[in-house]
Formats: sequence, C-alpha cells, structure tokens
Amino acid sequence: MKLRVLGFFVICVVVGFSIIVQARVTNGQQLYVSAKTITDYETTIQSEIEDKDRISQLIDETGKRLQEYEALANNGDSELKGRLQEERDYYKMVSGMTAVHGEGVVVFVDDGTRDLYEGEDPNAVLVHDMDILTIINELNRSGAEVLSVNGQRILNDTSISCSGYTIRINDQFFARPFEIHAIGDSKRMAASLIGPDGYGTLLQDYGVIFKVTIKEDLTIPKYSEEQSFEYMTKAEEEE
Amino acid sequence: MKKFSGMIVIGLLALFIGLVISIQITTTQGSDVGGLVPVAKAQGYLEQLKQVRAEKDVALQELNKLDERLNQIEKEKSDEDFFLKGIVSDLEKYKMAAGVVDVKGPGVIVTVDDPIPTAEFSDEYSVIMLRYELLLSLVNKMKDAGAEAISINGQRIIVTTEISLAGDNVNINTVPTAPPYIIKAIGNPETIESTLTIRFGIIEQMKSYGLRIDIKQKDEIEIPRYSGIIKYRYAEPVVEEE
Repeated sequence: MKLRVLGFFVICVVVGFSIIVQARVTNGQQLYVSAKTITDYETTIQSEIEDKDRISQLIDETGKRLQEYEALANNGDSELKGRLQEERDYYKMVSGMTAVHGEGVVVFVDDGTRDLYEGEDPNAVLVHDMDILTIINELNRSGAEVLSVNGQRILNDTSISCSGYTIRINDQFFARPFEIHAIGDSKRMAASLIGPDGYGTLLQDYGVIFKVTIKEDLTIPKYSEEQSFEYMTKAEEEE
Repeated sequence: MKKFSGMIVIGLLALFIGLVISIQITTTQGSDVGGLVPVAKAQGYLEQLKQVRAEKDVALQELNKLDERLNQIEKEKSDEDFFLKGIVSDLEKYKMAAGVVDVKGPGVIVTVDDPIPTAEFSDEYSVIMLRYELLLSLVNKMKDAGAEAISINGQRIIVTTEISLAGDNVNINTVPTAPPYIIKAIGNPETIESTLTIRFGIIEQMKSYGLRIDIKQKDEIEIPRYSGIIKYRYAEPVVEEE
C-alpha cells in the first residue's frame, strides 16, 4: 500500500514537472509556428530581394541620366532643354495625357442572349464590373501597356464600378456592350484570354458574348480632363 | 472495485504522459512542410527579412540622393530660364500622375490577414491568396472612393499593375507577395473607410471568408513609387497635328 502511494507521488511529480517545463519554455509566445508562416516569410524575403534588385536598376538608370544631365548642362541650356522636354513628353504619355497607338487587341464583351435555365440567376449572362476588372487584370498580366474601356483611357486611379444598369469609368457612364482596347503584345494578350483556362473562355461558357480581335495598329485616346490631386503631395526626403 | 481504482488512475496518467511525449516528438521533427516549425527557425527568417529590408533601405537612400541631385540641376537651370521652369513643373506633375514619385497624404491603412487556423479554415493554404480577386475588388473600391495613390505591401498600384496567382504566390507588379497584406490608400480617409465598410460591402464580404481585417484612418501615410522602370515597347505617342 505504501509503495503504491509512493509510486503515485513520483508520477505526480514527473507530470507536474513536465507541465512546468512546457509552460516556462513557451514563455508567453507560441513555441511552434505553422509551415505556412515559414513559406510566407520566404516569399516576403524573396519579394524584398526582387524589389531591391529593381531599385538597383533604377539607381543605374538615374545615375546614367544624372551624368547625361551634367554633361548637357555644361554644354549649354538648349540641349538640356531638349532632353527635359523629351522626358516630359514621355511621362505625359505614361500618365495618360497623350494619345498613343500601337499593336494590340480589342476585347468585345456583351450580355449573353441565350435563354435562361429554369430558375437560373440572370446575373450569369450579364457583364459586371468584376468581369471588366478581371479582363483588365489578365491583360496587364500578359503585358498590356495602355488600356481603354469604351474609349476611356484607364489611369492609375481609374475605378470601374457597376451602378444599376450602367458602368461608371472615370466618372462617366457607359452601358453594354463593352469594348476594351489594349496596346501591347497582341498574341500573348489574346492567348491568355481565350486559352483553355482563360477568363474569356469562362465567360463564353456562361453564355456571355466575348470576342477578341488582334489589331495591327490601335489608337487609344488621351484622358480628356485635367488630372489634379487633392490629397497626395510629393514626399520630401528627410535630411 | 477499490482494488482497481488506483490502477485506473495510473493508467490514465501513463496515457497522459505518453501523449505529452508523442506530441513533443512529432512537433520537434519540424522542418518538413505540413508540420509545425520551431519558433527559433521563424526567428531566423525574421532576422533575414530585417537584413534584406535594411539593404533595400540603403539602396533607396542612394536612389533618393541621385534623384535629389537631378532635381537640383533641374531647379538651378529652371531658375535661369522661364521656359525651362514650365517644362520642369509639368514633368513633376506628370511623374506624380504616372506613379513614379514617393507621395504622402491622409488616407487609410487596411491590413488583411488569413483566418486563425481552425477546423473550418486550415492553415494548409492561404485564403486571401486563393481569393486574390478580393484584393482586386478592394483596390477598385478604394479608387471608386477617390483614392489617389494605393500600394499593396509596398507595391505601388499603377495602370498596368496585375494581381495574379502564380504558382503558390500572388504576384503584384511581378513581385511575389505573401500575407499579411497591408494596403495603403491616400485620399479622403472617411470616404474611403465608409465606402469599404458599407453593409454587404467588400469588407463584410472578405470577413465572410474568415479573413482578419483592420482599418485605420491616418493623417499622414507615405506610399512608395513604382519600383520598376516603365518602358513601352509597343505603344507610341500619336503625333498631334497642330
């Protein structure tokens, strides 16, 4: 009988001890993290490395430009003026204030005309803002440079949103059908949309009308208004 | 019965100890994906991340220095010449619209993280990465609310920014990203927040997937420039006839 009580006591000590050890080692924080956390870390590190590489490329480019400017500044004002004008025209184009042309694709999307199944949601055959957004996202993924929807140049801060029967782009209203123009590698863009896994194929399966045409020369108009920014200002570097 | 009660207790204790030992062993096996990983290893990654970020900061400072000198030349020259001054100020304006300068202003910061792992949402995959179209929609809603500049995990959103699932990663501006996603937007903070948090709006939709979301209004946030080089290979300006 005594022996059993003793044995029981020893076991209790061991268990208690192990619990204390556990509690102390964890020290208030999670002792183990999931494998996903590790892969997330790895991805984030990879991301920062790639970003750093891109910044080094920018440094190279800016350094070259600086040398060029310095040389031009010594040679007299007119050359530097020309260079700056070139620079201005380039960024004017990038910011969407110049009409551009080039090889590209025209994507035509319209609501489906097929009959609905019994009890089917009509939304299945209608075009929504998310569809247009996804198409633009796909086009960007395959290297689109300049885009427009129904003649509206897409800018950095352009939103596309459904409002009832119409879609609002750059604060202007458009109704179906939708025509997205994109300048870039036309074959790559077309292939990404109408491939077996392409978003266009998916829309077609739903019964939405979807067509892609490759154009050798496509013109995309400039943004028709002035761009002004109310909230953001250039961030100055701290000294 | 009394004779066996002690044995039952000991049996239970043995079971418990066995369980503790087996948990210990399985968790410390660690490094294989799918299991749990010791926190010490995660800390190693954290250190590495800090180091890479420090290196990036050094590179950014170098870039800023170069930019400053460029601006100085532009400024010096434009002070002498009225015509040049016009060009330089236009250049600044267009660069800002193109997203190639760091900007600051009032706005909101939205943090999106994966659900806490439970039976329903396992941590085998990332919910937000699979549903990256939610990010696309979120950004669109921010623009709709008048956001002027947006970044996701430091990647500035410009016209040609894509958000796409590539393998196990979500690529933004072709740079791989991982949760938590920190989305910054400059604009009217109240308008942006109310647009996002409207009933049945995008935040509710995201929360229905179990995502953890946090929105903060800020008086001043800074959004970095687009870190790539914008180079058109296909698009050319249309020459306007005067």
